[in-house]
Amino acid sequence: MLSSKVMKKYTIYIFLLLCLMGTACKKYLDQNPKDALASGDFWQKKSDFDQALAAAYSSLQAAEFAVELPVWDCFTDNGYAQHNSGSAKEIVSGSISSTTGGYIPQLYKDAYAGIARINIFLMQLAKYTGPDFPDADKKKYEAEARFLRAYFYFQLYNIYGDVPVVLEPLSLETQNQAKVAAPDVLKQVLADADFAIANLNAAPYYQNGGHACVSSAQALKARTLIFAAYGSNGTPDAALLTQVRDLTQQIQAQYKLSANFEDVFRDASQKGNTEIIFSINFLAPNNTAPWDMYYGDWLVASPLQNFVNDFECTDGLPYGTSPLTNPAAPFENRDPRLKKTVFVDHPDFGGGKIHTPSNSRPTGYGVMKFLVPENIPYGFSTLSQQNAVVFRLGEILLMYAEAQNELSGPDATVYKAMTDLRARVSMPPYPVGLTKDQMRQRIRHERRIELAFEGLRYFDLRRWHTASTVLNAVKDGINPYHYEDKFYHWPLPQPEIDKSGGVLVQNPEYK
Amino acid sequence: MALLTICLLHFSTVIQAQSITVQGKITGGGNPLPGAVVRVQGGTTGATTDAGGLYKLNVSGDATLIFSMFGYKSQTVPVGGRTVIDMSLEVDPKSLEEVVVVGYGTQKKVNLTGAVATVNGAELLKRPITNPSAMLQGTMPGVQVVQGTGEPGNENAYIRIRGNGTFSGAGVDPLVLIDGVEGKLSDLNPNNIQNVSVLKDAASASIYGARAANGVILVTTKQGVEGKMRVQYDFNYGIYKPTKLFDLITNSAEYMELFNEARINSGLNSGLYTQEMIDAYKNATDRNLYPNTDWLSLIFQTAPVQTHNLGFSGGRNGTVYDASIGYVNQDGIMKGFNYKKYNARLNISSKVNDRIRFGANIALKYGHREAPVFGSEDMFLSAMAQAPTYGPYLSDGSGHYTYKAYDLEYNNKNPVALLDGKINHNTDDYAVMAQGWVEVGLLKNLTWYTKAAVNANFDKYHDFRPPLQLYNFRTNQFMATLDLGGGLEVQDQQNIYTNLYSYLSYDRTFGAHNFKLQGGYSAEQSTYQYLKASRKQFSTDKLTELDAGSPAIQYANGTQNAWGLLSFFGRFDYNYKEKYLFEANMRYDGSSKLTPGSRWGVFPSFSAGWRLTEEEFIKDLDLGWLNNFKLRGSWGKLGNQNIGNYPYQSILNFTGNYSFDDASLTSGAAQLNLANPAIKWETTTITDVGLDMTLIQGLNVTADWYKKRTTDILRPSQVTGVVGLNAPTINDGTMDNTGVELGISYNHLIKDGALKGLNYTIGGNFEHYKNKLVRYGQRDINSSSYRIRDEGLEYDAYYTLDWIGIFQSADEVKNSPKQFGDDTQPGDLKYRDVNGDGVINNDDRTYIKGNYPNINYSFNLALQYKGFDFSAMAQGVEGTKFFVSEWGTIPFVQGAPPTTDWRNRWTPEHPSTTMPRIYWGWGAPEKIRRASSYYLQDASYFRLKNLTIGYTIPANITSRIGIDNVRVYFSGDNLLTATKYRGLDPERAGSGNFVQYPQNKIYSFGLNVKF
Repeated sequence: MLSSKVMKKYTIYIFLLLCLMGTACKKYLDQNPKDALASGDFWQKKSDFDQALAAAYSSLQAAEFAVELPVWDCFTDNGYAQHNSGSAKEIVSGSISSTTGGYIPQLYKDAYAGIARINIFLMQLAKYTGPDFPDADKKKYEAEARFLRAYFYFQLYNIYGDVPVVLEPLSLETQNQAKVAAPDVLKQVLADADFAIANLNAAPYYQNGGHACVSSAQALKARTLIFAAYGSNGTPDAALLTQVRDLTQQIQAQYKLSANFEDVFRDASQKGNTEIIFSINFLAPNNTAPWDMYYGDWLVASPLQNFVNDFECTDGLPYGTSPLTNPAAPFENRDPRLKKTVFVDHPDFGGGKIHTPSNSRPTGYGVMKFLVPENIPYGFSTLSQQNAVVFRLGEILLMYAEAQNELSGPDATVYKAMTDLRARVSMPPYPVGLTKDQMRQRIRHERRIELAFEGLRYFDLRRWHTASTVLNAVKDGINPYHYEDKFYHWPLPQPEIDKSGGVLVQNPEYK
Repeated sequence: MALLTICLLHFSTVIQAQSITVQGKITGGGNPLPGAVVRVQGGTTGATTDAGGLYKLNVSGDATLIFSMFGYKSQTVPVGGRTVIDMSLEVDPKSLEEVVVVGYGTQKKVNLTGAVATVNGAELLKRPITNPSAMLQGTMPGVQVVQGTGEPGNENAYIRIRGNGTFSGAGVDPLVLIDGVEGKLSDLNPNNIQNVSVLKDAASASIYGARAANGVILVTTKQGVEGKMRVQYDFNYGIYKPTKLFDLITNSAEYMELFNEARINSGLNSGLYTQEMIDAYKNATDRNLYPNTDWLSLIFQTAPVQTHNLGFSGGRNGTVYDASIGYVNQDGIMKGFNYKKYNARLNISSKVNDRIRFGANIALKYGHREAPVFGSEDMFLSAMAQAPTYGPYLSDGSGHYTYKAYDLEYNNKNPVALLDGKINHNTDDYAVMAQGWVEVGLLKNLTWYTKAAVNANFDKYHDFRPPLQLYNFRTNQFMATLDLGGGLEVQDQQNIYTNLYSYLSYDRTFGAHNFKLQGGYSAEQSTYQYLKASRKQFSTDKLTELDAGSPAIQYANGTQNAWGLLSFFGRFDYNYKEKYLFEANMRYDGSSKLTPGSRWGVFPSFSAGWRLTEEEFIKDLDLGWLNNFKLRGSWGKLGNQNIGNYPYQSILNFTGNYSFDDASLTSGAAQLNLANPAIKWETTTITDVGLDMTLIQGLNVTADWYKKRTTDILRPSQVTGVVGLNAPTINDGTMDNTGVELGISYNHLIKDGALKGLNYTIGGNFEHYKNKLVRYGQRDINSSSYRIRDEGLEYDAYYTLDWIGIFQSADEVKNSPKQFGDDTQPGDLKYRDVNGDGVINNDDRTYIKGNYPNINYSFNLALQYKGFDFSAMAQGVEGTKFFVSEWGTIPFVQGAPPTTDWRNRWTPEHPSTTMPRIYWGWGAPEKIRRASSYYLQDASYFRLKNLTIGYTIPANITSRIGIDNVRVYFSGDNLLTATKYRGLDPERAGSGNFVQYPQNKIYSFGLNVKF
């Protein structure tokens, strides 16, 4: 039995020891995440910039820019979105306000998220002085980043009009940015696109390893200009269209139409495809997008009857007028693109490759264009890796024809462009002797057919200022269609107006 | 001379120190008291009375004996050489002698200056349920417990002490300490709980500083009492049913007709049932081919639940122990759900010598939970989203699962296929909670206490989803594959938490002044790690391990994170004659979650109390009816450090992988969040004023008023979209909770007359609090569009259009303000023009109170008479509203049949003023789907929560077979409910889907046997 004095001594020592243990372990209060990098450790070598560039490209994978491109066509006379994707119902029926959900706030958020990533990349790129990154390469990386930024600002310009232009990374202190007038946003898009054209690789996209190249930037510039060319009332601007014509001529030199129409949209034939000028890439199993599940199983987009009727018969005459019209077998003797774009009730690729969709077919039709027969059955586990095609030669030919027709009427080059495009699917050329107005109608019709469900129809109708006429006349939509002129620009999302403390002002038409 | 005196004294002590046998009978209220304890004061010897109240023990002749029994006043008498000492104990009004567990110690209840509520373990065990958190419901004022659902092992029960303190990710859950160390209530075996103390205000909780902002729940487990080993076996067998289910339209012909009507009303003129289809079902004689399937009856069942517990306790020679093993097997009232829980515990403590005591508490738990893969809500809505026109299996006897009967139908997954295929997400969780402690008496008044603890939790998930083939009910042909994601996913996660704390206590009395001083420190660390792997392609459903799957598609994820906390704390207690009371607490915490510059925080508190009944002038009045009256007040600050682990570091995430060449994936890295290095603690300041009084030796009243203000709330700052990054966490926000609490209980033992021996207790608890968002920043109308966060309102207040009725005629529509861009018809919802501008639009949304309850209250009654015991608890909530939508509210969401009350819908032939036209699920027009108070339901309720009737077989009968005590009882839970809520059960975790796993109504019987 220890004496209490000895006990006291030992216990005091033990107590002090425990205290020391506690304070010595103070460094366990310094904890850092184990699966992420402190920003001080990054941007130290060229491979860091490769990773950052990959992340910048991946911001294009946001649904509304990639796998949901067909949903944009459901805002038009082409289709119906039965799950109200992107708030299609509100947009189609005219309930567009600053508090509408769907793409109106989503696109704003995703575009600026991409822009922020690019601005941080560019800032770090400018600061980097390591020897493993020669200036010539740095210029290329800068050009790629600016091409991406041009694409995002193009989207914002096209949809909202006046938006803030941000070229530096922002912080909490600088977060309230005022918007800039639409023409200045356009200037920024063109400035970035021009820099990209001047500094990217000259090789065509199919030989450039999936990185943006000069022709990609030219295609972006051409689309931007042709979208801006019709001004605020549909009258084309000759100066802009001349630039479009020239750009599209340059692009055509490097590309060839894909032999098969469907090869452009199926992953197995997209690598090295001579028609694709820029695409947003996906790769199974870890970087996929649900193309097959959305369009083959869920029928996220359903083509409308009037769209199906708009396909010509194999003789080049409209369905209904042509003697080949056969209501009992409406898909026989039609423009081959009909069967490649639309399926009736369920996708059937022949040879037993059939899939029964789990969701209903509200219009009786579904979108076939982006489906891959090898992935049947379509469901949650389907790993679709189709790339989202952004620019392709088909669109370039149509842009060329449209621009040249407006500038000098339907000359031989216009006819040739359209003949080549139609010959790919064995459709006959246009009859000779068309007037400028007739050719314009033909070209606009061809755009609708060729580029169906690639996300361009909505913008076509808006830029030609025919949206009110066309959309308000739609009779076979599931939702009632109502289009007003103010919808040429969407409102800025209300939460953004609220958060900016009065700095960001709403589009006056939506006050 | 001095030497002689010493020798004589020595001899006399030796003589008197001779050992004798003392025995006797202890009675209480005239009845023998089994289980009463006789202890030698200052010694280690003791005994407990047997069934007849008799005891016997060997003591020295000059010893002093203490006679005690819980619920009775202790008596201390010297032996004085006697060999027979009988004792009669008086029932203790409990409040005066009771000792309450507080932070790092205990305190006499009468001397408490903070707001502490207590409940003892026996009270909790009255509820025949399996979730220990839910057992706290209705037991203490200021403690609001909501059980989200009745799902076994996953009840989603949450506890709120004095309202919702914050809106940040830091959360509003209180700190739960089991024997002083953080733990989870769900890991405990409720039979092990001795008592629970809830520290509600700053004075009581600030000694836990940075983790105590939402209150502290102290659970003390049973330690064992000296005496011969007592064995106790408890058994409960319960029958569980849902408290309420709704009736759906199950007649196929009626379903089809309503389906068509709803579609036409919604402007969907295609995809209707044809008249032939409807007639086929109306006129059919073969109900196998043309069924009227009631899908809900296929997934619900009456569930049996059994609970067993075996406990041993006892001790001698200074060592006491309490050991137990427990087993719970709970099936769910929804098929496919099961929870098994195994608990084992050993609490042992030992006196080494006069100065040193040490002990260990070791508990093990294993839980196995089986549940269908997407959970209970998904199971319920899948069963609802089926048409009655087909059964789960084809009618041809092939055993194939049905998809649909007709192509035009809509539905969700076949729930019977999921159940049969056991497509489950199974969880195994293991917990080890081990503590070792040492208490050393350094000096006469100085004690040193140290405890070291480890809690380890290991969870394993197993999730296998094979695809299923589904067929057409009409044609028996293959129709679709049910693809749920495919393959196997397994996850292992572990959480290891260690805590070492040590403190010194010094207490001293100088005359009428009593002081107590405590000081110590605590170091905690927690590491979490998980590893997850999956493979998607399996050639057979029978092998559910990763290696049986194809490596062609495989994924792996894993990470680890950790946090640490270092703290110093101290307490100073002073009272003058137990009349004027004062206490101060302080804690100084440093957390790894904050930047080094702002890592440390100080959390002080001060409280004072005044016991009027100890004042001389009150004593002189000799008020026999006023036994105790104490006024008290406190003020203090608490902190909340429960934020994410690394909120201040500026980091780059591995995200944004991209494949440039369509052949390989380049990994990406990008910044996702803005960082804020200046983060600091969230602080809650609580002011509390209360009174405690005991009247007429049996009536206890406790009342409190409090104000809780949480400042520097951690939240994502509002950042505009142009920044393009996720907002950083900043400190900016203030929330107030102000409330009152009242607890009353009255206990009385009838000592004479016809009902002599009847002991009854009645009581009630009330709480009312108001939540207010004081500072938030820009008004935020939540994207789910029925809530608003605005300064001056309660947090996340309901903000919707106000529904005032149904349009009855086209004229009424014409004469009322135009509603949005709708095509308003008679039979549609009519909204109120709140701003009076003649137009109904989003500006007419208005604030509707109901996100927080107005009053929480409960009543309890307990009776004991001649071996019978009866207790009842009723509990209620007033003023809560829930916004419930989707399946079950609008008919035909994914084809779900309407509830039978839709037979009273508005039609031109039978107009209604309460129900609108019938519309079709997600295809319904905006005019019925937009958020309005039509979906906001009043969920106030009052229910008979528990009723227990038991009978203890007389001791003289059972002692013949060597059993001390047998009690049989019936216990029912959630027996009767009064509510206006039209859905399943008004008690639910919050707004959301109308359907969720129902609450359980329980009829159970049980047995308590003491050997």
